[in-house]
This record gives sequence, C-alpha cells and structure tokens, in this order.
Amino acid sequence: MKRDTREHILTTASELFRTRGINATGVDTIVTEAGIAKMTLYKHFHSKEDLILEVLTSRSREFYEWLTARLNKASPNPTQKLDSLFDCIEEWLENPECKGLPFLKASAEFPQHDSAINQLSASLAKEFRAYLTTLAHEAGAKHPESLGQQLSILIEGAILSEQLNRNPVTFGYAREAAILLTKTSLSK
Amino acid sequence: MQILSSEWLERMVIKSSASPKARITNLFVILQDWLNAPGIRDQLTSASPDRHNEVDGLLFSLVSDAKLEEPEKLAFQLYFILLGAINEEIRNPGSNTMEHARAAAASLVAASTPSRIKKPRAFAVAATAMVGVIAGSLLLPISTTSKHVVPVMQQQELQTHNIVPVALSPDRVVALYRMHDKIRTAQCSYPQALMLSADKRAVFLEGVVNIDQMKVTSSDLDQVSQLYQMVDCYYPPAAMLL
Repeated sequence: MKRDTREHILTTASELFRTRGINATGVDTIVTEAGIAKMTLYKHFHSKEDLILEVLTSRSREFYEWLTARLNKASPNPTQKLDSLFDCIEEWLENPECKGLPFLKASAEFPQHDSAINQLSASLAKEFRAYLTTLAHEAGAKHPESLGQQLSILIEGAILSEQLNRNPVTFGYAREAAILLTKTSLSK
Repeated sequence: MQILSSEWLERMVIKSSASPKARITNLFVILQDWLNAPGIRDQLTSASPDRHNEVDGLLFSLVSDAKLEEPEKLAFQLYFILLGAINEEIRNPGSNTMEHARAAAASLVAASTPSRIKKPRAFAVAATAMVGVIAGSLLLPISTTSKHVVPVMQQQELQTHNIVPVALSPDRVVALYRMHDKIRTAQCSYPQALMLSADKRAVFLEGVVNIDQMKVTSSDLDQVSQLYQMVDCYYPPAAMLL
C-alpha cells in the first residue's frame, strides 16, 4: 500500500511537471490531483525538491529502459541500432505521455548551478552521453566518446528547437546528421 | 540564442579566416573562447532557441557563402549542434563539448561540399579548412621528382616512401615522415592550426601538408617539427577522404 501510494504520487507529480512545468506546480496542486493529504506526501518525500529529484531519476530510468528495449527490437546489430536511434528518440517524443528528455526541462527550469536539481540534470546529461557512447563503442566506432558526445548534443539541440518550432522537416535534418556522423565515425 | 545574432560574433567569424568553409568550423572555436571568457558563464543559465528563426542570419549566411549543398539543411544541422553544445557546456563546464561539436560540424561541411571541389588541390583546400588540407595531402603521391629538397631517409623508411635521397639530416626527416604517417592514420593531436600566422602557415603547408613536395630548407626543419607537434588528427575519418 505504502509503495503504491509512493508510486501514485510520483506518477501524478511527473504528469503535472510535464504538462504544467515544475516550478509552476505547487505541492497543493500535486496533493489535490493525487487525492491525498499533504501529510501523506511529506511522509514519502521530505520536500518538493526531493520529489522532483525522484521524479527525474524515475523518468530517466523509464526512458533508458524503453529506449534499450526499442533499440533491441529494431535490430540486434549494434550499427543498425545506432542508425535507428533517432527514429526511436522521435517515437519517444511523439508519445503524448513521454515528451522530452527528463534532464532538459529540469535544467532549464533550475539554472542555478548550486541547485540539487540542476546538478542532477547535469549528471543525467552525462549519463545520456555515456549511454550513447556505449552504443557507439558496441558498433565499433573509432572514437566512441566523440560520437557519443556528438549524437547527444545533436539530439538535445534538435529537441530544444523542435519543441519551439514543431517542424517535422527540421527534425528530419537532425536525423540525417546523426546518420552521417555515425557513418563517418564507423568508416575505416 | 542571442549570441548568434550578435554583430561581435559575426565580426569575429569573418575575421577568423578568408575561407567561407573555415569560418563555419571557426565559429565553434570562437564560441568556446566566448564561453571561457570571464563572467560569461555566470550570465548564462541555458541556451534556448529564440522565437525568431535563428537559422536565418549568421549560420545560413556562412553556409551560403561557402557554396555548400543543401544550405538550409546544413544550417539547421549546425544550429542543432550549437544549441546542444552550448547547453552542455553550461551544464558541464570543461567537458570539451565545443570541440566535439566543431568536429561534427567539420564532418557535415565535408559531406555538403560539392563534388567538384573535393578533388585534392592542396593549396586551395589548405586555404579553406585545415582539416580538408590534411586530408587532401593524404591523396597526394609521395613525389620522387621534386625539383626542390627531397629528404634523405634511413633505408627502410626510404623504401616505404620511395624517396630519392638527398642531403638533409636523415634522423630528422625520418621523424617528420613518421609524423606524417601518423597523421594519415589519424593518431595525432591537432589544435588551433587554423590560427597560425601567415609565415608559419606557409611553412606548414610546405613542410606538413605537402611533405612530398617539401621546399623548406634545413633551417626551416625546426619550425616544421614544431608545427607537426601541433597537429591533432582528432576529426572523423570522412574528412580525411577529401
């Protein structure tokens, strides 16, 4: 029961942060939407900040689990996995329940470098880069760290731009760039 | 990102090189310097796309001036890389992100270069992008009929490079050719060669890029050796095929 309540709070908060923004969502709104008392929330999370950190960590974990499963489904071949990376990212973004990479929104809303949320976002960004570097390494990239870094910044830039401009054509440009950079890195 | 619309940036990029292609990759170097300038990071919290289309303006202008294929697409691709790189630099300072972004830009520019420009013309390529310059030199055959100084090499290297012996210190020249071979297999380091002064650039072109047609004298060899030490082949293999 306790675990279900915790999960329920996380799911509710996650949805509210996604649709309304983290700073714009107060604790009162969360407890109202979740149908719980404020005391119940604070029994599971010491503060709103703790809740935010937990939501970010949880959503990141969901993203990687989904992405890994999706890439494995696309192909067992590491090179083809890299080629399908952008398609998978786009699929994630198009899912109305997902929307965006968790660390992107958080770092935008909490820009202060001494903020625990900002620091977690920075750490999650590094984790994303490391994930892509692993994919690059498995595919046999000559410089996997470089390719991982290039793909992560390309994906981030494309998402940030697409969120504003909503232009599927330009997202396609980013996909082409990703394929080219991958091909370049893998060529002998 | 307001910085992309600034006259300062445009001025710095134009000043950085006479070559339109080189200006594109130089943009990343300049932005890295800008980010490292005192007080800048404190002012930045994140880089967000502007409501106005920032791809029009500096990026599109650079890509158009360089006469690259599909300029709109390339301008957007460069924009995405810049946006992501600046944000990552703000989040994780010192992550060397901008250098990776520059390398990515170099690959995209190389892929967008029209076919007719891709033929190896050492001096013309060298004037536009050092990356393309080094890659172009890889396609040049080692000449045995140079009218100028052709290095003496130890016997086994001589056989490898098919060089006619003349009078220069064999050890020093062998060392140079070893560096040249290392460049060809992309094992070296290559920072900031774009920023060489005009006199050093001439020596670099002759002694490093066009080693097979090397005209430098023995007195220049010290400088050539130093320039070789500056070379960092940290760029994707495709650029080596220009």
